[in-house]
Amino acid sequence: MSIDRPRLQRRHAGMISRRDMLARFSTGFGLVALSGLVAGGKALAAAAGPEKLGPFAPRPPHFQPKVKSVIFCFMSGGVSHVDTFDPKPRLKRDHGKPMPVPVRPTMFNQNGNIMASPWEFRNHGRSGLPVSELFPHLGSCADDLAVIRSMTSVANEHAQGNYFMHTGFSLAGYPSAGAWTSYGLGSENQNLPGFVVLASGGAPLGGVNIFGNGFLPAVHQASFIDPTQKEPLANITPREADGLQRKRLGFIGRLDQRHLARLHGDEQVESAIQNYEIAYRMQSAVPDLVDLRGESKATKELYGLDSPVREKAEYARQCLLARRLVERGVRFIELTCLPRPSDPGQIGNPWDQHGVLKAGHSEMAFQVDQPIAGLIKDLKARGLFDETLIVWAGEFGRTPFAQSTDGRDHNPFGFSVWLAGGGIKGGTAHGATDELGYYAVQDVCTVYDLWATVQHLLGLDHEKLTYRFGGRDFRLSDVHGQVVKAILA
Amino acid sequence: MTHSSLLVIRRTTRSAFAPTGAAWIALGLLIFSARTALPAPPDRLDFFEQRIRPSLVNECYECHGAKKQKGGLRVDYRDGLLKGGDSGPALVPGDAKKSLFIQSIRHEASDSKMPKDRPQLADSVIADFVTWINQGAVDPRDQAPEASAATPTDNVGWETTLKARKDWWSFQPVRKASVPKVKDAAWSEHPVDRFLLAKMEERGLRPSPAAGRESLLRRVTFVLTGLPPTVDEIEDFRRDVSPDAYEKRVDRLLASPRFGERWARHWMDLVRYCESHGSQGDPELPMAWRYRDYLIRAFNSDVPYDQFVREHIAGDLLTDPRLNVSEGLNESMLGLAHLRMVEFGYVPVDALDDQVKVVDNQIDVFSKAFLGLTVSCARCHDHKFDPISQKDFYALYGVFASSRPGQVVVDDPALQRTNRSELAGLKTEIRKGLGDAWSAAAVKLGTELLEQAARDAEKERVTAGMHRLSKEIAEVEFRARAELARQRGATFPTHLPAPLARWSFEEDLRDAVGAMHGRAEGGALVRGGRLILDGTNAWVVTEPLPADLREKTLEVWVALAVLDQKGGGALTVQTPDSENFDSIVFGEREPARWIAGSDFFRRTQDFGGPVETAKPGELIHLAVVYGTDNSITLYRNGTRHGKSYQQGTLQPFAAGSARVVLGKRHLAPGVTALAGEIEEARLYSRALTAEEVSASFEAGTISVDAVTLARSLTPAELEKRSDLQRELEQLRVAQARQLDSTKTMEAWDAALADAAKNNASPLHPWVKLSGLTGTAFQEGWDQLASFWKTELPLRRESNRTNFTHGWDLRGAEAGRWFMAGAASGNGAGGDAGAPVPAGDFCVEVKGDRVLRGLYPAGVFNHALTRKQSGVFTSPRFKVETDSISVRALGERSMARLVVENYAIGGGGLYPAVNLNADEMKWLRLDTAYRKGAHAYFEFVTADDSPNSGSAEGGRAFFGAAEVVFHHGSQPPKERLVPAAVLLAGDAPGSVEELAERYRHGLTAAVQHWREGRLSDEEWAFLDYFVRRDLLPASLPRLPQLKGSVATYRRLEADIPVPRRAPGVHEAAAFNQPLFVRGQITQPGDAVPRRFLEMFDDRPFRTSLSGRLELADNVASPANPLTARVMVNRLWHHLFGRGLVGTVDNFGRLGQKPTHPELLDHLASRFIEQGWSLKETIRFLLMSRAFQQTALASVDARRIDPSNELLSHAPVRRLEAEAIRDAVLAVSGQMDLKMYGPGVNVYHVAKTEGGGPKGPLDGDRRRSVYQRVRRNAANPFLEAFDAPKPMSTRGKRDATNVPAQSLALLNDPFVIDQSAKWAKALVAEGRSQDERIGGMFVKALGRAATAEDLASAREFLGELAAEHTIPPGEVEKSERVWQDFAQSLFCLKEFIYVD
Repeated sequence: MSIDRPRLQRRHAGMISRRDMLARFSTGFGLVALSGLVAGGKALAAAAGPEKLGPFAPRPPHFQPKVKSVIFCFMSGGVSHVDTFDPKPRLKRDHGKPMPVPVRPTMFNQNGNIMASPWEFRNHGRSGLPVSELFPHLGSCADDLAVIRSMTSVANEHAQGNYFMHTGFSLAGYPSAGAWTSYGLGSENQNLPGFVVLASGGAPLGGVNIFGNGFLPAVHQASFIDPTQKEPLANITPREADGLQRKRLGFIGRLDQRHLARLHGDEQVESAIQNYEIAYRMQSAVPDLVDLRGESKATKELYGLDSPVREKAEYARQCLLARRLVERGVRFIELTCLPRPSDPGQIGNPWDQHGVLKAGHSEMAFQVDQPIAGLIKDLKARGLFDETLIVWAGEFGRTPFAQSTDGRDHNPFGFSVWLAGGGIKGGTAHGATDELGYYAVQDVCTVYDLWATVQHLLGLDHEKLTYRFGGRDFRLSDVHGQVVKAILA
Repeated sequence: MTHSSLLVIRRTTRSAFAPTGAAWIALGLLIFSARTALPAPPDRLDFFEQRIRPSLVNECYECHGAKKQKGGLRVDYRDGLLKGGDSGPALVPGDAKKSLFIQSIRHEASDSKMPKDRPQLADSVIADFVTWINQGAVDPRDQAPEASAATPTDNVGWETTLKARKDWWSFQPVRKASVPKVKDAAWSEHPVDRFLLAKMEERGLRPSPAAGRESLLRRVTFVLTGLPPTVDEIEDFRRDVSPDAYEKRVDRLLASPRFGERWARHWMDLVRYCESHGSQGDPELPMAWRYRDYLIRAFNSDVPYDQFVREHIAGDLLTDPRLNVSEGLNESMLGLAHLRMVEFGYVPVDALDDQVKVVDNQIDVFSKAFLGLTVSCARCHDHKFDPISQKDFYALYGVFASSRPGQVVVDDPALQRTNRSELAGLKTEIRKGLGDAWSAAAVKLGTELLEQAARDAEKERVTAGMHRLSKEIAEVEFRARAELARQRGATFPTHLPAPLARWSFEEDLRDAVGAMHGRAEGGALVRGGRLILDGTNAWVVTEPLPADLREKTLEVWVALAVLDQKGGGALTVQTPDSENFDSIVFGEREPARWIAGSDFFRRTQDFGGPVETAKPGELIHLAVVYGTDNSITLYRNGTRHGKSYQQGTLQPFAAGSARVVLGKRHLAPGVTALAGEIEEARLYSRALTAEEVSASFEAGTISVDAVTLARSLTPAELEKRSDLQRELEQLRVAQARQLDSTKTMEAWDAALADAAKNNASPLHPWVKLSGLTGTAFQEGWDQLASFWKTELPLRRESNRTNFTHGWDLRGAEAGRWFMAGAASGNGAGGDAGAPVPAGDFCVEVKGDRVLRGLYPAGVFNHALTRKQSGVFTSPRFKVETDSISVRALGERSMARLVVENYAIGGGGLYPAVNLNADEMKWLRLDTAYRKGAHAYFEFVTADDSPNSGSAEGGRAFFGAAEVVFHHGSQPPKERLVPAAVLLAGDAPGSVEELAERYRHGLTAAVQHWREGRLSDEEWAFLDYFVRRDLLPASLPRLPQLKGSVATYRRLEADIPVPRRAPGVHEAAAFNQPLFVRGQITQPGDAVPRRFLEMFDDRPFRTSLSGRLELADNVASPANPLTARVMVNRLWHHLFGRGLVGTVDNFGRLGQKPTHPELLDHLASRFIEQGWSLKETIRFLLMSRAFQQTALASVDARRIDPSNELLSHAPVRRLEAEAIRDAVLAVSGQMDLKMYGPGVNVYHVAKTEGGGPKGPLDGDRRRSVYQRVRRNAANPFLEAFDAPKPMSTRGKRDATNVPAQSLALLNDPFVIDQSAKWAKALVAEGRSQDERIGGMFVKALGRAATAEDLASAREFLGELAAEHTIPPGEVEKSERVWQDFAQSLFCLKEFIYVD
């Protein structure tokens, strides 16, 4: 794995004094080697064995990876492709006319006539990639984006679509892409979990199972960090002064060690004892992560943290935290969209405009456009872009015809997602939907293909990263999936 | 794949590779004699075909065949094996030991362990290969197959593969092995120990010494009850030195109710117990907790496991259900609930896709939990490893998908029959009493009608007179009123805000301020200084606005005619197209409430104030203020009414187009009008303040008051007015007398009023004709009669041609439907599923009415009571029409289409209609969206619906007569017209003859009803009179029935409300077509319902689902898996690891048993002991193996590091529930209350569909009583690996993650419990050391050592210092002891048991 060791250590410079402090313990807490603090790594793993290194131990990839981390910008509710990244002039031409092809049943079955996009598309950058005027900031990053315009899903309903997009299965109970990544690669940072969801937007429909570990060991489930909460991660705030907590851990350590000795050194008890040290360190790593005081005003403005619109400022904070998590070696970071200011109750599917598409998509695009573009620019400026992969997707697209008069219903038969970052051929549009944007017709891609590609970039062979459960070897791409080579650099 | 095509393929295969009969032998001889000069005896060729070829095909061809040759080796023809690959020849014919092939499959060759990445072959298969090679490796395959040839598994038929795979150990019959001999016979005589010791001795191991008594007690207590031993129990055990002290303790623990709570939770892991369906919205699975209670009772009462299994699969079908007398429950019925604990989508566009997922999950859980098999792996193809075909999957699919989801009644049938025969007897009595009363009343009908006609004429005279007099009085007053108004208009009080427009209605509809003069429409009139609105269709519209209007105030003084009116507007501003409006609206959304009406309620919310109580005619003042901040405020009589709110944005109205409307909320056609009088109305172009509104109310209207008016009238006018008023007063008295008429007359009045408008009413001819004579009468009659004589045949014809017959539930076709629920047996004749002829009724259980009316022919679920509910379902059919219409009635019930067994209905896209009327009506369901899907039709009461609310107990009922299919949007036309009875015979010649016809029709109908031969037409006629109490149907008119009705009501009250639980209902079953490659778009041939073919390939002989047959197959001593799987689960929970480590998988991908003979010994013993779980557990606990210490010896660590041989006890982490329970038990907070609805989850995260937030301490109840919701897991339990309720989880993880440490360090639950424990400790007193000692015993089950004491003292000192507690005060510091107590919860010893 190509990990720039010195740089990683610089990134964790803040932790060194903490280590020294821990090492000074004379009371027994800290007895076990402080391996976790040395920021992980293969050498250590090999020396100590992954069990000794703790639950976040890094694991070797299958082959040389292109990227170390994934940031998943999930556009929950189903962003419309024909209004964002898949221009369809025919919709304008035939606006108001009936669909020329049979329309399949939709969620609400209030199927109307062809509806033109309320937005114009412009070609951007050297590549000339068309991006709708909904995303002026992302338009300026067009040469970094590889848009897949021929994505398909099997689910026509939010919860099932969310499960499918995240796990490859349209039911709950299967591991999320982030959990698979954590399982496959572990974490580079022994004080933070491998899979973090920035949860200020709340869970998409279907609930937190969307981010679950399924049958994988629990360590791979998402940790929810919500910077808007007093306690950004559950139980992360010590309820007592540090000195007292250390004394307590000292007492516990002494008794635990004696118990371990009584048991002739049972291995599982031994690693459980070590667990307290990780927990202890997480208590400072997480507040340190969400403390943005060290970020410059310019950086904050780049992301849009200064926006007077609360939802946009919060999404910007998620994007900035995503960069900080990437810096800390966290493998998989998922962002959650916040509700629209005009409909604060619609949590979990804010892109879901069955009516008033124009107002709704405008609000949502305003929320995410600048923050994501800011993230891309910031990662580039810091030299992290090439080792990071950004994935932007909703659970399905929307119909090219109207629902009633001014909305669009769900469309799983063809929609757009994009990727950007290390190993990605920017300025690409891959695959195509038909003239109406109804069905994917050229180089049709599946969710399995998307994750096969993501895993490929992480140095993982999607067919080999399996887990045996209930009599079968499972994987994120189920029994399908092909790496989308066309979008790779 | 069809059976015949399978045969074809097999034949092709044979002809290519395996010729049969003589030719076969000849060929074999030829090949082998040529090559090896040895004859190839037919039995060896048989052996190859039956035992060797299938294994080669299944296990090896994929990598060593025509397509791939890993390591250069091909095994798909003889020379390939002989030539071998990169490592040389694979076979040495005649010498298995030297053959690389055998070394490789025995995993003796370190670099080549075959089959790669798959489990080792079964011992019997390896033995076959050895035999085959030793006997010369006879192999008829002389040609290398082409790469393009069929895929490997096609090379042998499934039957051959099946046969080969059936050799796997777990499919062999259980054979009770004899107890082996051991060297160290003195260690233990217990059979379990002997089996274990024999293996240990083989490997040079010794068992460990006995565990210390403290450890043993803690271990056995946690294992059996999931709780730590109490201090008393520890003390008892310490003091009991008798040899059977441990045995007594085991027996006590087995008898504890805590045992069932612990072991129920183990079982809940297997059936993915949950109380919601997950996905979007996490819909509730109502009453799921009853199944949890059932499990607890079942484990506590040691229900034999075979019975338990039967109840889980077919508890509703057992001929001899297990009744719980003390609870009045049919326990067997409760076992079904796990079939419903499935996940499904919200409103899936393709419901079949969801059904597949649901059934797949049901089969997955069924096969893993009971059989340790992974049958759902065979959904898309034959199982990759086990003898389970794709057909097996679909054979079971038919069984599960034919069982319909629903709430089942779990009461003891005897309870459901409470008072049933008594009620039936009383009903007969009441029926007779009604018959007598009606016969007597019917003969008087003619006279009554004639009397009624006379009364009507008088009433008409009074009303008309009053109307005329009011008008005349207004005319007398008009001059003075108009003059006064003109004077007053000029002097509008200056201290009041100036309106934009004001209407006082003193003389007309003029605007007194500006030019927004009104125009009367639909009979609106100005009289007596008011605008009179009759509530039918009267309103006023004004000239357009003079200026744009944004913020505004609408003000009106109004007197309502009645409070019971709906949706009229008093004062409105609206755009010309009526698209946008703001209005003061009465009673639209809720009865008797004022709202600020707006287009599609965009600016409307409930103000939340009290409902309107003004008496009819009482003047009230209303003002609605629309502010620039989008606030909307209502004032009533000068004070704020309810809450001000902000919703939407202020609606602007443009000058020159928007107008004011009085009397309707807007002018779109069909909008209801207000009934009442408006005294004055004002419109302001700004938002008045509260003070201004108040002042305006205080100042009152600018209208003319009575005293001033009287002063302005001339003497002549006064006199005239006085005469008129006197006359009016007389008429008022007459009217009051009329109103004061008897109940009967009221009933007649209502009926006649209805009849005037409704030509289907039998009284319609009477209303129309009773005032006529001679030819006018004749012509009137002819007109009415000819209408119906034309209309009825037209209706019949229309119904015949536009509708396709579905089911006529009034006759034999009802027998094809299925009735379930407590109401079964609550029908006439004892069976609610059977149709009853017209004329049945339900006795009312409260109020004056004895009955509401009579029912037409049909199926009803409430012949004796409306409490007992029910479910009535049709056969399954394919939806092929746009609509389905039903003729039905009901209350709190629903008629719905259940698409592909989808368990949520009545919402979203699933066609359903609510039944909320007691009279049969045609109701249409729009089914266009679901065309092509399979579905069944269901009548169901609210509480029996699979997605019913969580409370139960409301009365509900339904009745159904017909179901038809059609395409149009109109349901069939009503054929049963009550008036039709009158048409028979010649035309009546006079009113008297008409009255006689009524009398005759009614007496005949009553007579036929009494004789039980009421025709449909007669029913319609008779019911009309009964329902309106024209024939006595209420107690005041039936005093003779008071006694029997009272008794009936008392007995009916004793019928308990049925208790329900999730379950399934039976119906005519179907066979599921196999989905080719699992694709639902590619259905193949239907697979008959049956058990797994490896056990029994005969189709079930039943028209029902086949669950009963399936249960018999599973709960059978002959089934090799059922007993093995279950004893292995017991072993797993007692010894920490199953004899088969993969407790849910006994197939090829599972682990092999470490002690196969022991497993079989236990399985057969289990069956012999009557499938008793407790007995088996007790037997295992009495082994010395269980009682060993957990310390591994040096030898044990070296020879058997994973302790498969059990030379010592395991160290195990407690399960999540046990950890939480132990915290509660140790802190002294635990509430041991058992059973009942679960405690809501305490959750803090933003979770969707998480349901209500529960208390932090979970009401201090054991974890098994905490609710399990799919989308809102309990975070504390989840951190410690509580399973997600998705599939069978027989073995939990015991992970080690920081969230666990963080929970013990920082979780408010742990801290809260520590504080409570500390409080109790401080209150208890005792010295520091005593206290420490006591805490160790309580938390860890052992005394503190001297070292522990020293550490504890030191830590307490640190705590005291930290909290600045003086040394003498430490014992009293709750804070110090809280920290100390919490530290004990943090110890590994607290959550690990050794």
